[in-house]
Amino acid sequence: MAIMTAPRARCAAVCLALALSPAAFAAEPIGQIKTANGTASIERAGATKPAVIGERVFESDTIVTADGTVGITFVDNSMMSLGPQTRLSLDQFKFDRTTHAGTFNASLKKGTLAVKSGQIVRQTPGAMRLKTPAALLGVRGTEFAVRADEAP
Amino acid sequence: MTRTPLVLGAALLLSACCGTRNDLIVVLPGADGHVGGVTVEAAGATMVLDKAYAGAKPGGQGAMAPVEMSKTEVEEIFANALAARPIPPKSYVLYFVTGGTTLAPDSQATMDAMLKEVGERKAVEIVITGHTDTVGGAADNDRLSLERAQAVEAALRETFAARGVMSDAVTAVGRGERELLSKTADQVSEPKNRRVEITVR
Repeated sequence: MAIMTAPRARCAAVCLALALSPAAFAAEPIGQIKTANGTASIERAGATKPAVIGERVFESDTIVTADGTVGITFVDNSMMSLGPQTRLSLDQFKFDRTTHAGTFNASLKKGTLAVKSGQIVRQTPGAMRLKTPAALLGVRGTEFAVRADEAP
Repeated sequence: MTRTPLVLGAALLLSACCGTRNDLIVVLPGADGHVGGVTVEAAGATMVLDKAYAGAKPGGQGAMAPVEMSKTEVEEIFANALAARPIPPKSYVLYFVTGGTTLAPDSQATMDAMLKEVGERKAVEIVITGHTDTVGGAADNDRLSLERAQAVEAALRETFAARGVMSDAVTAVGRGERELLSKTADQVSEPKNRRVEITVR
């Protein structure tokens, strides 16, 4: 019985915290920055923070590089890495860790991007989509690169 | 009032005809040689790129056409983005003495290799995934696999903490019988399928 009551007591405490704290409604992270060089930032809900190694990323974040580069591994093991002068929006990310069902929609507004798809695409080919100013990409797997750039 | 659509139409025609973009999409060979491919939709046309170094230039001059890229060109254009790629996640399969969290003797070397990998990565995350064989119902196996993963997570908590892994960087997941290492019919007891996979990323 002691084994049963301990988790229950903890749940009660967590539930109370969930009810009281506005931060408790914050979404789960969808990925983490694994490589970073030079100047780059994360735009989130109108604020900007430096994109450094270890920083978590969330749905709706926009990753922006100046002279720097950033590499992200997502929770479905997909990976994206940004070259300099790049702007990438993580528009929508849904992932069920048990079934691997999910959706990953991102937009490359400008710059260069290398992508490796992960468990979302392995489970559902095409469930990752990348929008650029000129095209819409449906990803069947696994690795590709994209440049979005005005004509010189 | 009726003029607006005409002006808009003219603007669209202009932008479509002259190639205002220098975009490029190119498929890369996978590390394991696997190439799935990418579909590209642009200006009402769809193209499938399914070979390594097959490319497309949507928004460029004229209609979108396939372009054959060379490895050298691609590595030059995308040098910085490619250099920034994270180290791919690495998975280790562990077996346990039936019914517990005691590592099977054969899995000790795998455990050592996994911990070595943990020590070598920056901002390391660990995903512990439980798998079952096909004995029992699917829902029961989901629960069983998650419980097994959580038991292993608890057993390894101090080992990971001692290596500087943050507790919120470790997650336990149950995949039930969805990912059989050894394909079997339903209701088959298969020790190879009753396993825990530790992914280091």
